[in-house]
Amino acid sequence: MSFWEKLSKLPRFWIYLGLLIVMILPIVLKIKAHPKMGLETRLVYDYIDHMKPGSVLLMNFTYGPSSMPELHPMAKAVMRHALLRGVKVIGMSLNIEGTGLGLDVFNSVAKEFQEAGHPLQYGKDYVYLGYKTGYAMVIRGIGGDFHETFPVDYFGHSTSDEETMPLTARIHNYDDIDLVIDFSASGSGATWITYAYQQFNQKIAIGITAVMGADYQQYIRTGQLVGLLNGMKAAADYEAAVAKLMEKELHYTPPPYATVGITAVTWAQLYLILMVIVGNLAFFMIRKQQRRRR
Amino acid sequence: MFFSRTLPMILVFVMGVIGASLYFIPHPSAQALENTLSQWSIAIGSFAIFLAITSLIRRYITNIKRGKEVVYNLVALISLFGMALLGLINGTGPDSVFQKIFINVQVPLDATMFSLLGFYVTSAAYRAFRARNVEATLLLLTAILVILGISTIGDSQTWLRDLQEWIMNVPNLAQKRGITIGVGLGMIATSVKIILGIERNWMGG
Amino acid sequence: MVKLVLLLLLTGANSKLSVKARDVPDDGGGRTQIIVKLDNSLIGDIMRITRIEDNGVKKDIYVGEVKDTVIRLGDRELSDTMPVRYYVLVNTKTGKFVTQTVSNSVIPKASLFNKKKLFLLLLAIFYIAILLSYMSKAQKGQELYLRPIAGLAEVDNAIGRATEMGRPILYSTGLLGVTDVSTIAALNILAYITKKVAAYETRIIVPVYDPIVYTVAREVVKDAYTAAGRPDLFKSEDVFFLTQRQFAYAAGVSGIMVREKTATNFFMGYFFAESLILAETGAATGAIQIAGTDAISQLPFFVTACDYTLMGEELYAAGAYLAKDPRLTATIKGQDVMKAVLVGFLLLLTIAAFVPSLSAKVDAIKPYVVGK
Repeated sequence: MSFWEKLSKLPRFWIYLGLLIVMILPIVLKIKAHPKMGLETRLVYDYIDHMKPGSVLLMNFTYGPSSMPELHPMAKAVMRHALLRGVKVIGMSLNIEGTGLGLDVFNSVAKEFQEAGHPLQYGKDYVYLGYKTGYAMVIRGIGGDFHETFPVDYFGHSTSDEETMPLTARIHNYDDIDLVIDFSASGSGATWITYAYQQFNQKIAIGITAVMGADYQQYIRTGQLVGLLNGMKAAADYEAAVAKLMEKELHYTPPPYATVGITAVTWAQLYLILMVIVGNLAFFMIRKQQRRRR
Repeated sequence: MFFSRTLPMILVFVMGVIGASLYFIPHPSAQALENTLSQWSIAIGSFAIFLAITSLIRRYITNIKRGKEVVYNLVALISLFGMALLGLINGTGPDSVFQKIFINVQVPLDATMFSLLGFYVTSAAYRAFRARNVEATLLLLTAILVILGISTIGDSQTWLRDLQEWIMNVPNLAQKRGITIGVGLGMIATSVKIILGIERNWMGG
Repeated sequence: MVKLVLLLLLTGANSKLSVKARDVPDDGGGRTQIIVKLDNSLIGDIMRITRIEDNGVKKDIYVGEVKDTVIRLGDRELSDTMPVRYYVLVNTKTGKFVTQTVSNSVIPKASLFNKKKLFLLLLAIFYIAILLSYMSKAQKGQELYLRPIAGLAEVDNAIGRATEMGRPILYSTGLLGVTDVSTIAALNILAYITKKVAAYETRIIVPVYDPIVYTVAREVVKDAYTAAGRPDLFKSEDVFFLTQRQFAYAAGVSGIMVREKTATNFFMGYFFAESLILAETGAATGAIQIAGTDAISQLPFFVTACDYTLMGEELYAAGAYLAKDPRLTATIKGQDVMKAVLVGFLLLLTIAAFVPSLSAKVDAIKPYVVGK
């Protein structure tokens, strides 16, 4: 077997090992990227940037631990951005796994604002509703009667209590929610489009893993989505832009996550291209050798 | 025969027609009916979970009895009952043992499985992306341009980003819309066949 | 207030201020639209709009400075049977009375049919009529040509290969519930494959993701064995619910492929990010793989790692192809006709959009085409 034949049949182990090294290095060395925002991400960023102070953003967390690296920093960056613009934030989850992850986003961002010297008030600036079973029924339910769908928040406070929960007390249905952003690794975005947009004209944006992102690009041009946060790249773009904003306005730097992760992803993408080139080189060399033999 | 075939077919027809009609009726009573039907669906789903878990337990026990992969099957059975018991006895609150196991075992396991995707993408690309003919070469070049454009390299090379966005938003979106229209029509046709009882393989036999 | 309303009605139209209320059409009721027209001289004054229900209940729905000569407002959460009026009062910033008026009475009724969806309804009826006409033609014995689908032609060979090798077949119905058309299509194909498998006495393993799909899949496999005359071959432990967690399912199915050394793998239905994990593991074990999905974003992964892939609607058509029932295959012909109609419609709209005199009309019909 010639060198090229051996190379074309390179065992998976070596390919995987190469990828592992390429991905671990930038994370261990904490090599930060300085990404520039793509078009789809810019649409979401600009929309939130122009939301009036006091308007309401509903964040839905329908992802599990497996997609945390992409969606968690994305959700945190969006929440930071909204709060910096004076937008009130409500969180909810349509699957059990997402409940704890959503809570973590809310707690950690609230802690960051506390550390930055701008403490937030629970019930007034942000509310976490937690998990509600029923999926599409919940999405439709919010359009009918928000308080009936979510009578209490995650901690058991009544959502209609005007004193302790003024934020949710004034929400009746989608008319009082300015933007919904769904973070998911699956198809829950389509359910939001079908029910919240189609039936109640609710503005919707989606944050999704890159492997599923292609499914939602078509909805931007049709106007069914405000914008799309697609995978780690969008998370890094958003995180970097909001970090700059936070440094400028609050003199506080949030911990980087996606901006480090995207370096690993870029290196992996270059490695993949290299592998494709090597594979093709081997393919052509073998073909050449075979022709010579004939 | 009546209970196994005729009655289900009548139910499918009635529910199918009601379900389709509800899309066109905005009246609150229609919406209430839709909510009720969705709730029935959730209730039926809850019963199915019992049957499903029973099948899983039966499979594990059968495997253990046959001496087939005993360790794996034991681990699965112990995990199944152990987590259920922990949840029932100790609760599932933020500081419970249940949550600790979930975060320290389930989370890394899930993340590991998802991360495999990166490795598989690389190995699949290595094996499959070959410039065998003109079409394959075009596909290969397009893929490389899109990967470079979507990555942070595209941040500094605007022409690459613009080209990538054009590829994704024009030719790529066009083919996807084509498939989506076909899928939509296929869905309606299949639904019509099911509602009319012409397609009934899914009922068994 | 009732006296005031009567008085205002008797005094007739106000030249500086007018208000019209109307029921929001095609909705679930309880919503109105209010249009207030004001004279230029009123700009800068304070306007108050009060809702007056027929039972006397009043509520201020708007208080604010007049900034424009036309103000449109929406009112909601009303009873869909109770008539309402809107009383508009304009004062100066110091509280001095300027003018007032009251709107017509309106009942925010709930509609029984959303007229904006009429076009969609007609289109659906037209499509169903095409499907039924082709079914009737097929029933009368008319021959309809259908293009061959490579993946389906190979189904029998793939089963045969597993039989020859004495290894089992793996069949996954995807990750969506039984209400999804792709899952139903997957169950239809499962019925066909099980009958073949029963004839060859080959083992089929069906790990299922959804509990309801499990109960249906179990019946489908059991009945298919019975229909093939081999109920004795049905093993209940081979059709089982695995897990309802995406990556745990991927891990479980991958494990089965590796341990059981399946010779043929079928992935039919809707898949998410786990598609490549399943297909690559199968490819690594050397199995023949046939996939079918309408998950567009997952198609590239299946195409790369599987031997044959049914794309989009081919998955739905597969049951009809395999069953060779003319009524079922006829609908595929109907779909193609409808596709041609839609392409024609899209072309017309595209041309119209480029003609300046027609582009406004295209925009006007848009709500009826998209149904909202």
